[in-house]
Amino acid sequence: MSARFSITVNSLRKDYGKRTVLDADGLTIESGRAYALVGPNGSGKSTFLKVLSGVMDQTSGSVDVSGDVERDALAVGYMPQKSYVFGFSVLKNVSMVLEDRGVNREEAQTRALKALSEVGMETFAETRGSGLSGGEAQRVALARMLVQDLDVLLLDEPTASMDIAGTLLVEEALERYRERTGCLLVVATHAPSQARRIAADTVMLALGRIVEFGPTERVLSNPESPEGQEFLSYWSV
Amino acid sequence: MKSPRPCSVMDELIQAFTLMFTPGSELSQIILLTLQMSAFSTVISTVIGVPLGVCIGLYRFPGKRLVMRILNTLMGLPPVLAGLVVFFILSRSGPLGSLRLLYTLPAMVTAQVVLITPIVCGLSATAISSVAPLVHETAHGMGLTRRRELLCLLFECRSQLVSILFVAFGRSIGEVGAVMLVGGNVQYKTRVMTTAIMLETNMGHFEYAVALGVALLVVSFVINSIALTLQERTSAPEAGGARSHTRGGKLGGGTL
Repeated sequence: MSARFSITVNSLRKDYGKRTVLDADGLTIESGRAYALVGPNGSGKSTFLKVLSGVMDQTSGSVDVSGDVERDALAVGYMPQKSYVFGFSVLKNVSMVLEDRGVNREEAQTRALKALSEVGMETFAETRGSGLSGGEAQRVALARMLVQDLDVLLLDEPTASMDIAGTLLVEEALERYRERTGCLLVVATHAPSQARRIAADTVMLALGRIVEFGPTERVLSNPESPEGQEFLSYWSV
Repeated sequence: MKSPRPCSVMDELIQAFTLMFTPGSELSQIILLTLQMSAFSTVISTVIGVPLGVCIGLYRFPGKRLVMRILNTLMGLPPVLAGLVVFFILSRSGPLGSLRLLYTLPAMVTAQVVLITPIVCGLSATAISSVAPLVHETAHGMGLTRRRELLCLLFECRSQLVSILFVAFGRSIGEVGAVMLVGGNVQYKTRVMTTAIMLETNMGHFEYAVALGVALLVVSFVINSIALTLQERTSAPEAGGARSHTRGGKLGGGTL
């Protein structure tokens, strides 16, 4: 079980040239909970996750950690929107995450197979990563996260290329993982229905700003901001 | 180099291939020297060019665009100009004249390295930079070490890198201008396939020159086929080295 901690976003801004794509402030998220990150295209969801994961540096502002754990001791996993699966075997794709940290090959492969079975990909263990479909690649990328013991799991549209059966399987696997590890889970998604299924709380972004934050049901049923109302109006069509 | 004149290209081809496999014949010696020159120059160019190309493709630094422009210019460097530069450097009055390398195999290899390294470097940089952002994002998200990330990147670019080697080898084995200038086409010493073809053509032995050209193509084909077969058998990379974190990556967005 992970340590108890919370992450606070303070005036976090990211500019691309003169264009500000993220300007988030006053958000506190806690370990052990699942958060959905919703918003239309270009709302800054991916940029937000990239900055949180450290893939990208912010222009200004900070992400602060408080609780039982030091910031540098937090283990963070990030799955990008375009999941890249390396050309070697699916099993190697997953097990190398552990091998890289000194876990012996046998144990790494056993744990990798378990993670693959969590996402329904155990039969693809010997398949080369370059031969997978988009949905299969996303499941392997997710298994690479689930095989680790993470404190923070950031997923950028992890089921975008999956069919509904795959999506539900993955959502269940995520729920089990969160309960087992007590990690902080943030999932960016386009779909309010997915947000309802996986997260108790939802953050809504529009044009890089946080326009809604609170219990998922409240945010997705009665958004207070005009941007939130506009975003949800498209889903009622 | 050539004895009694046969009457057709086919006869010349048969003669050329017979001589190719005759130990001690001038043609077998020419082929051996050609392979030596091409192999050495390809290996040296790769050892210099690939790491340099990987660094240029992987990292951002001031003046990167200028470096890429210079590389692209050098990729089209005229062979005669490269030969001329090496000739001046190795000639008696040149800075390395005391080494007495002119009209030797090392001189020819040096000229080839000057020609081929920018090609290897430029193509490697382009291949790496097209895949690096995706691999970096994925590897960072998985919390992989930089060493493993680099190995994964090289693995993902393996086909392009092997193709670059073929390009380098092909350029090397088919080069004539620079090799002629610094090698001098000296019989039994610096005569390679291409300069031999030039010589035979100048002497009016066209059929024999064509036969040599075909032999050159066959040699090149055999080597490329062997290399391609080896390429298909490549496997996953292994990595060790220091671990930066026991699990996962690190949180971003720290105070600036």
